[in-house]
Amino acid sequence: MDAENEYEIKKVRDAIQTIETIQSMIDVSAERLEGLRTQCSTSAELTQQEIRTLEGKLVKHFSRQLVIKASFGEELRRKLGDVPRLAQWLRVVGLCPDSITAVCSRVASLETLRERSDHEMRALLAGARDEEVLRLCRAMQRLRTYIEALGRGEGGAELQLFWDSWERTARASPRAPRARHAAADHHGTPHNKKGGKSPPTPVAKRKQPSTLPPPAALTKSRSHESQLSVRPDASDLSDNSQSSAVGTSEVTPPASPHDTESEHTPLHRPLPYHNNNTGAGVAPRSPRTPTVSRCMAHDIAHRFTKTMLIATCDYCDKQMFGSALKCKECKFKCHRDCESKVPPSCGLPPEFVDVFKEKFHKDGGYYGYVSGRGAGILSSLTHRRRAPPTSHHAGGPDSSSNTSSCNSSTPSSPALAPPLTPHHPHHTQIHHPHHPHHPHHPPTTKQQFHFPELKPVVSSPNHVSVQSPSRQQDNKEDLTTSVQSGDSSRGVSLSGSTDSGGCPRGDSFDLSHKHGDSRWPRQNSLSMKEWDIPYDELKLFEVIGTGRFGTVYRGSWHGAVAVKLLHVLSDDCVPLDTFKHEVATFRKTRHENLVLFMGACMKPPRLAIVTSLCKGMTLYTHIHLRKDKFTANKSVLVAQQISQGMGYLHARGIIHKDLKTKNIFLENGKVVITDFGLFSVTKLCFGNKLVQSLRGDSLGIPAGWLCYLAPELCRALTPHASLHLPFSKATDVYAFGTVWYELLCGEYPFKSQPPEAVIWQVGKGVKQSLANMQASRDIKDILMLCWSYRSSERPDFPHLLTTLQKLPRKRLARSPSHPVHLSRSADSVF
Amino acid sequence: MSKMSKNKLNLTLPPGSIDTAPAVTPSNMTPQLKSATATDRRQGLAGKSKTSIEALTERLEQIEMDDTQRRRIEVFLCQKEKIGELSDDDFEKLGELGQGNGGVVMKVRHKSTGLIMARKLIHLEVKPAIKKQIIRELKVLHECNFAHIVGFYGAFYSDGEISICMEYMDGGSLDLILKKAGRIPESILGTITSAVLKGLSYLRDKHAIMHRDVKPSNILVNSNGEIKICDFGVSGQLIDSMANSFVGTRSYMSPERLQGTHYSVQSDIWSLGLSLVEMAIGMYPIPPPDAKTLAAIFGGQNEDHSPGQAPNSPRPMAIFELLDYIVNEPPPKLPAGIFSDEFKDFVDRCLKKNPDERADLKTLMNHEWIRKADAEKVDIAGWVCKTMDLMPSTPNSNVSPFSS
Repeated sequence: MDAENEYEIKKVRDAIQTIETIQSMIDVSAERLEGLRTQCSTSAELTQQEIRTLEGKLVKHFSRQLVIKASFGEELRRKLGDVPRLAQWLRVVGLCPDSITAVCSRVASLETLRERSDHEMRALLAGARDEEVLRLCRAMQRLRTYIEALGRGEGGAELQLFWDSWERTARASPRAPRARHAAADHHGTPHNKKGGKSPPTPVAKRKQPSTLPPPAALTKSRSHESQLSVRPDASDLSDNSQSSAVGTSEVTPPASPHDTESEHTPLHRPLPYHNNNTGAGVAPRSPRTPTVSRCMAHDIAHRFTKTMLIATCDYCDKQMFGSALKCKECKFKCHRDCESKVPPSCGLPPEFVDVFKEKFHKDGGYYGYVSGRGAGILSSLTHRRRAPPTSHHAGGPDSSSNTSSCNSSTPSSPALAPPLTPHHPHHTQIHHPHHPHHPHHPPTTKQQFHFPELKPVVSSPNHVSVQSPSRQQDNKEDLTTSVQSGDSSRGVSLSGSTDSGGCPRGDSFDLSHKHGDSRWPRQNSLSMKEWDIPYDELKLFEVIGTGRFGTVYRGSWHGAVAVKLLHVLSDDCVPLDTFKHEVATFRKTRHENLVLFMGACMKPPRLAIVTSLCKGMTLYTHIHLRKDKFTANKSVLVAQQISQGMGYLHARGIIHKDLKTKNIFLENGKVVITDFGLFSVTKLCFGNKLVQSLRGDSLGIPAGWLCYLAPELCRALTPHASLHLPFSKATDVYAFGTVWYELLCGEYPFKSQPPEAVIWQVGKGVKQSLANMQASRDIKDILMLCWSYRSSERPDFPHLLTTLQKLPRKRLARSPSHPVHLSRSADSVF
Repeated sequence: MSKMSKNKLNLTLPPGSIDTAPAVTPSNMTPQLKSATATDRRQGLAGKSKTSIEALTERLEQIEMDDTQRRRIEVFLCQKEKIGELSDDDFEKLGELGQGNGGVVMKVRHKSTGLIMARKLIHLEVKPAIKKQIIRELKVLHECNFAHIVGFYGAFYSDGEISICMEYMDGGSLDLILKKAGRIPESILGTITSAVLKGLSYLRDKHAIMHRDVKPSNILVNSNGEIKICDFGVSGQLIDSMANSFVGTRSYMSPERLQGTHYSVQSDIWSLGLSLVEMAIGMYPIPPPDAKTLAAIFGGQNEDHSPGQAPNSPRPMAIFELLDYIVNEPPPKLPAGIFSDEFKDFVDRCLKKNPDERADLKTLMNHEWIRKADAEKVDIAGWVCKTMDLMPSTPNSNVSPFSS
């Protein structure tokens, strides 16, 4: 233990500390960057600048980590393990989760990746979008540059270290799991410009030749136009809101902070135009319209629903048996496997479909198609400037003036739904069946900089919702729900942003409507007996899940159902009365956001609970497996629905006892809570016997369970059966807090801490730190309230719902006045 | 908001416990040695080339082991060389050895070579990429060749389960032995502790990993008198992916880890100290047994009692209560007058709640109690065989009576 050794140790310790400090800075910056990319309008110059600055910072941080790490021996390197974190770097670069996984599985560390040539990286990312490859190459190059600079001792030198990682297209393909997939090509990124000062990218390319929209689009838009001209005012407005919703659907909402907005606002200023413009019908349509210019100007995704049929696949012309997809609108049928390849050709006459398909794939499949869009938009802009607006009109009736000076900014007007929305009578017709599938699908959110991420739908604070059927076509998985709380009117749906797709679309709309009429009466007349389903009547198919309580099967009983077959070890350990009592409680539950309880088998040892079959995926799958990012708005919408369902449950005197993301399904944006009250039933049925027989004196703790347990529950855990845990409404609220946290952060609280540590900390009142969480104070306050140590201090669900409804909608509310001013000035640029 | 302060109100962290413990001390190993390791990892593990064995053997010479130990490892490596990639079909089940955290451990025979192995199965439902990562992380185990580390044959994934194939230790784990023997004599504990310390420092110095789960059930012995540690936290991903974990009546986790603060190898020292007290008195020492209980244990010798259930404990402690005891109450110690002062002192140094005050590995290895234990040759083999009713075996413990 000589001095020199001591010194060495200290040096290493310092180095580790430095690296850790840098790591925490990276965490913060990366999260912020992610937020900027996904929640802010990346079209805004300010946002772009911000992104660039962050990119530069992150490059520096990562470089420093690498340099420090390299300067020490293997010991330190091993100790630090995966720092700098490769996956985090890749996220920072802007790769999609799939690509990240792909790279991580092939490359062990950032150091290794650094050695790779561009060519090798391209190979690593085989299958990923060009955009991603480019980003990676560029970001890696920046990293090398800065490391070299550090090596020369020029760490402070002015270097351009950004690589412009924001997405440049608006809409993702309906298949794309995340909005980000739909990256545009990177054209126009001004990396040759002085950092941050560069004008918005598209300007440079304005002169691009444009492509004329193909006939199909023309047909469609025309019909729409005529329709429009007949209904100039009110319907026009509602159309507006719809089309804007459509246009922006899969993209994250403009979460940009106020100051940012003021920069890019042309988009958000439409109000004044609304009133002034009568020429709406002929106004230039959204610049988005021609987005597909490389393919065709038809871009309406199918509304596929799963069906069982025997037919020929309209895509590959091969036979289909059994499960297939069928578009609700145009009856297009295809294999489920073909879904991804099917062009967004909804409503296109068959003869066009083939052409479209061909073109679509020639252009490089969906991604090619998408990436072509940036150019398309540009060309459309230029096109519009040259050709009179009438030639182009697939867009919504954006009531913008068609004077050429305005054309670039006006199209955005429809995007600004706020003034129309909140109390407008047309809102109630949101689910209107007679509004089937608007032809003018192609989104209208356009502005001169064509930054499509803007999500104007949710733009007003008190604006409850806009949801149009047409919007749904666009979104595979839209957040839609009927809010039926006290003050908001029934049937008004909330639409939020969506950023993930790929989940089969059902029709929550229809469901929500039927609810009221058909189900209630039936319920009232039923006695216990009628809930008893003879086991023989059930048909069980495959296992769709297993839990502590038993096994869930997909089954059939007058239609598709989910059957939860409880594990029963022997007859005598089944307190049948308790089971019957619980079942009696379930039958009282009828709520939009609760799974429908259909009956139960109550003859031991056959104990089963039959519920409707949940479509969609669980929140757990979304958050933890697919790593879907929930925007703040979407999280709020989900949380509201959970609060609603839970509030109802509590009002009925039912404690869920096992509220967790694994028990919450998301069906096209509608939340469905399952498994309520089952916890005690199943515990009563088999207690911990199974586990105990194997484990002796220990309590089996399933992954991701502890963090839902309120302090009083954690304190009550014993190594023996956890039968008598003091569940209460307040413990449900605590669990809700954790769900809320998962929605916002994408991970469990107390992540990767051993169970004992979680039990002690929660039992002591320690809460997961929110220091690294990017969320508003309001949002964090809700979390902290739900996680209150004292159960009496936790809010109840009705209260939570009110609070959630009061949350500012991403601060999109802005006074219409100054945006106008700004949009004018933006116009003058052109 | 007022809520924000709630957290702090309820926090009772003992002073000093948040201090970051010293990071892993860099070892004095040579860079060359390390680069050899890296090379091994790259070329060896999958395709077992000749060179990897040579390189490993070469490295063995640089590690402090006596000739017997070295020879045993060489034998082990040679046997291992005959085995290619492992798969589910290669094994024949012989029986269950026990439940590890997260999985069953089976005694199996490797069909083609007849080798007896312990196969730990951990149920995992994870994406292929995660599986691969785990298998990759586990490959570090190929390089852990040391007299006091359980040998590793390989890991693979089949049917939703990760299998980790290890050297079979016929004496079993110390918790099983403890159940049979009631208590473990101090002299035996001295030798065991010496071996565990060597194992821990090997892991730290050569592989920069800490154990994370030192407890009696992770210390194995065999009829050769070998003492080896197993189940160390080599794969972070594996730990993160485990579906279930078990929390029982005992916890060996250090106060600083329970509190969620930074922890280091010092945490293993706590666990070792706690294990030692448990093995010495024959019961889990939290909450500490009262005088009557101790009298019952040490007064009337051989009074049969099952460990963990002291006569005076009215009810099992809630898990939280137990953990809170560890964090907030004085650490357990050995009862006076029964054990040597050196042993008592050793345990006290391990069971300091503040990790900075806790002795480190190096200090402990030079502790008088350990030096005494090293000097005095204790017949571990005899003790194991006697306790577990085993036939003293030939040096090659790998071929168990079952296989011939």
